[in-house]
Amino acid sequence: MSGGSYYVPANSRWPILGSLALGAMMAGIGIKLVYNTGAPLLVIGLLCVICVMGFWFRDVIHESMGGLYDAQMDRSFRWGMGWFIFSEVMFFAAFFGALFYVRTFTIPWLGGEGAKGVSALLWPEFVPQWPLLNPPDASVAGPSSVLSPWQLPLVNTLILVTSSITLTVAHEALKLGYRQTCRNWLAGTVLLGICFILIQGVEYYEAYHHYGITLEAGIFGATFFILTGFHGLHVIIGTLILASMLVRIIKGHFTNGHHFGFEASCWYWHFVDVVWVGLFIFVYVF
Amino acid sequence: MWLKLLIALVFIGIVVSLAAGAGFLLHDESTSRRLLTSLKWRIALACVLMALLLFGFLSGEL
Repeated sequence: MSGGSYYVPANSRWPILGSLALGAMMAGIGIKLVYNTGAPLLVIGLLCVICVMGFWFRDVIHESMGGLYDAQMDRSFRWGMGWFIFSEVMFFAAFFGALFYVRTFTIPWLGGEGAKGVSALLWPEFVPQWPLLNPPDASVAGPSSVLSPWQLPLVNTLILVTSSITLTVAHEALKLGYRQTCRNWLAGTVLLGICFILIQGVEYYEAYHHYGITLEAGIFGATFFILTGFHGLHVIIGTLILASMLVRIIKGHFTNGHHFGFEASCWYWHFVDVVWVGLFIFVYVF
Repeated sequence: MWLKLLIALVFIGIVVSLAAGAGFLLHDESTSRRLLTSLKWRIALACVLMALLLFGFLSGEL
């Protein structure tokens, strides 16, 4: 027991194994980029990272359920979540900022407007527009057309907003001690998350094969896939987190007054939802 | 124009309620209901935003 002092865990193998796994993954990416080989090392490294995270989190859960943590440890988790939130906000701010910069400054400059309008001399025939279907350099082929926001993207938006509602019901149920209700609504949230991921996959297929929107389709393709791709990755991570919460609820973890992990997961899912709403507005609609 | 302004205001409200929720998550005990309340505001505003977007689509303003 901690006895009111800071809890110091026993020696753990996960930090060194995690470092080795990350190193293997980094080496695999480097070899892949430079020599166009090394994919097996990359995959092995990634799988090892995922395994280490799983085992490490399992140990933390066991320690928490074993009553080893105290108020100081609780504050540490909250600080950790705070830094995680900060890094996530900065991560997406960079990509939204890139989209804003391109649309507000770069393209008008290339069209001859604004403080750096002289750059229009580079491609005199360039017509500034967004979505950018005709990149200034002829060697870059833009998309043939863009996706309508009112079809699959709207469906996905409604799915994600609905998933936040079901999650909020589960959250309220846990607060009130209705564990069965919490379990059912949380399961529904996980299913909606899976639906979102599947539909996003269909949308990517459509984009690549019918609209010419690819990673090579100029700045529109690049910003589209960077923003929606990293968001999709976050939905996958969020779905895995909520699925873990579901397993913990089924196992009887968390109480009405002690469920920081569950609440942090809830906030993260709401964050992912808000990012998507921003994406829907700024990437698809406007 | 008014519709776009309204959409922007509601979106800002969503971000503010989410940010408030982050503050409550980091500072309050788990017995507090303030995080849940801020997330309820967040989702209610998201529903309003969806209604505005759908109205804009159906009316042809967006």
